[in-house]
Amino acid sequence: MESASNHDLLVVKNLRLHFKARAGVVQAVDGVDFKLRKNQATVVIGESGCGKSSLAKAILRLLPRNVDTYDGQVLLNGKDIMQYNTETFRREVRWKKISMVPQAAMNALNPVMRIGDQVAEPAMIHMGLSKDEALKSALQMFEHVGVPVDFLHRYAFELSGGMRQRAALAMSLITLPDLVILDEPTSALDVLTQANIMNLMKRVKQELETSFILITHDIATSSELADSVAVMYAGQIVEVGDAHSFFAEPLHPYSKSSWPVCHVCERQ
Amino acid sequence: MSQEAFNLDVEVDVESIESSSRKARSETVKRLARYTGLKLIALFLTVVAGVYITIIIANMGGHVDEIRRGVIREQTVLALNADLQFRQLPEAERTAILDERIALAEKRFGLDQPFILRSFRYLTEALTLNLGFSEFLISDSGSRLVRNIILERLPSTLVLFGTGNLILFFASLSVGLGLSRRYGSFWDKFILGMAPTSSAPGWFYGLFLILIFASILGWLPFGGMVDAPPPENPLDYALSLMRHMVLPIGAIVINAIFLNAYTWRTFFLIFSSEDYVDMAKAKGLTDKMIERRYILRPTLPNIITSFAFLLINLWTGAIILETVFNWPGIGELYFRSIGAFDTPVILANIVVYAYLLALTVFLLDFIYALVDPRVRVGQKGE
Repeated sequence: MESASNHDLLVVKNLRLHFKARAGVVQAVDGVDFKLRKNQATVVIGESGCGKSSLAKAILRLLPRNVDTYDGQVLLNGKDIMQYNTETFRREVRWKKISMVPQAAMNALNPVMRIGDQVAEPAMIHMGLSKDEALKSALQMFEHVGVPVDFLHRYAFELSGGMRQRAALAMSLITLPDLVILDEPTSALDVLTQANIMNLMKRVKQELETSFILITHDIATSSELADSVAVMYAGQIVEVGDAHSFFAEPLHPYSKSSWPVCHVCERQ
Repeated sequence: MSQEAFNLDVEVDVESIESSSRKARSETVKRLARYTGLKLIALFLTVVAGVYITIIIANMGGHVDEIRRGVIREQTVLALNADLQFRQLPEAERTAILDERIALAEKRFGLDQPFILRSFRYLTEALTLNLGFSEFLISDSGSRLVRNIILERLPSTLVLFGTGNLILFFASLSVGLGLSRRYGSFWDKFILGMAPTSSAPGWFYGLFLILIFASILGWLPFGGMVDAPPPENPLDYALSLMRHMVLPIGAIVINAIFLNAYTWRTFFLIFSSEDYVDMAKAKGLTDKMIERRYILRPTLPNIITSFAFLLINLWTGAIILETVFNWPGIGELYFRSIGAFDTPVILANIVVYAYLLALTVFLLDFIYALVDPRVRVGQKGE
């Protein structure tokens, strides 16, 4: 087990995140186990409300106010980041090791700050770059993800949805983190832009050797990027598999029930 | 292949943005001028309406004239009766002289004209800030000029309420921001629980403060602005002023801080649940950075608005608080002028406030455009 963790970038063991709600406790993430190797992309598939986004939040410790239970183990490069205190977690993990592209990248950008400043911000904090250097590396990232360079000085409301999504992606990559968590990064975009962004992520994965956790309910587009697949249902991961064999033949009854969808996408 | 798609996308965007910005530049001046003109006219009409309504109300629709006539008759009769020679005159002659004197005095006050005509004269004089003379009130230096009466009171109101409200504003802003970041903590619940105490007025707390710190402990003066006689040395004067300001400022702050902090806390709580604040947290920004760049910065227009209205509200002072602390300010002047139906003084207060309000509203639009890139002055929803 210990030797295996050398290859594993991220090992999640029995991670739980429960919320207090009016009618009781919501077990959004309820004992999740999975592993992610370096430079690998795992797709977490599941229906709306199954706890996918909460899983992303739980890994990055972005907790809402009504948390009931939050425990388990998250090993990043063999170290349990759940044991870190808030300040260490902020300095060592957030964006330095793990970054994210949020579900609604539309609202993920500060409306009154220039895009460039927001993208450059993590580089200044975590890499100790000066503002000019950070903007320069933001510019490089913009080129990487195909955002025009002069957008550096624009505001979020001046960008189209696809451009904002790319800016968010550039922001997630600027510190060259080991892992990027993408929370339905393309769900609000049209099919063409979706395909563009998926291609882009494929390229980024090859060029920058980043690992991805791609959270989505869109099996068709995600199958392109995925090395492995985790099916999430009611707060638990019910099946983990190699992407190829999963799309060919899912095992869990729940996966099987959604298999016709996969079947169609494989044939395409 | 995807690279090409990007580039195509890019050029179209740049092109359209550049051409639109060029067009926008050429139209900016025209748009600004038209907007400024329309806005100024609208605001001026509002001021005119507000001031005219005040004139009607302050004169009770003309009924104050009856009171004025009564006062004039009484004063003239008293003045003439004090004259021995006059009393020895025959009845008819006395009445003639009395009527003549009364008519003269009424003419001096303009009472020979119908009220409706005079109301428009009052209006033009008020709007041109030709504040004129008071009818009954006299300034401490003996002047009947409304301008002098008000200017004499203004500094004392500004120094007290300026200091008090600035402390209150920044204290409640920072407490509110702090609480919004510690939702559900003991202090959050404490402030929430204390918020209803702000329903009592400031002077109510003033009375308690006087009772405790002036009457029982004897640490601070009961009221007034400086010791009597006023210290000669400017430093001593300032110290004395500060000692006298402690209790009224305490009353102002204690009265409103809980409710204001609670209001700001709720306001910031709403803005802290924006996705970009979560993102800032995920990016590993420190709490200070998140507060400054992701919470305060986007809410700056609201904060500035609140601050601007605080500033112009200083002009009105506070009627009862000033009376309780025997503070010679605008509020107390207001109180006396209403009691004495001294319409020129009431009107002067209102018209200056109306102008300040209109000016603030006018300037705020431009300030919004400066601090919020989404706001464009005079541009209708793009």
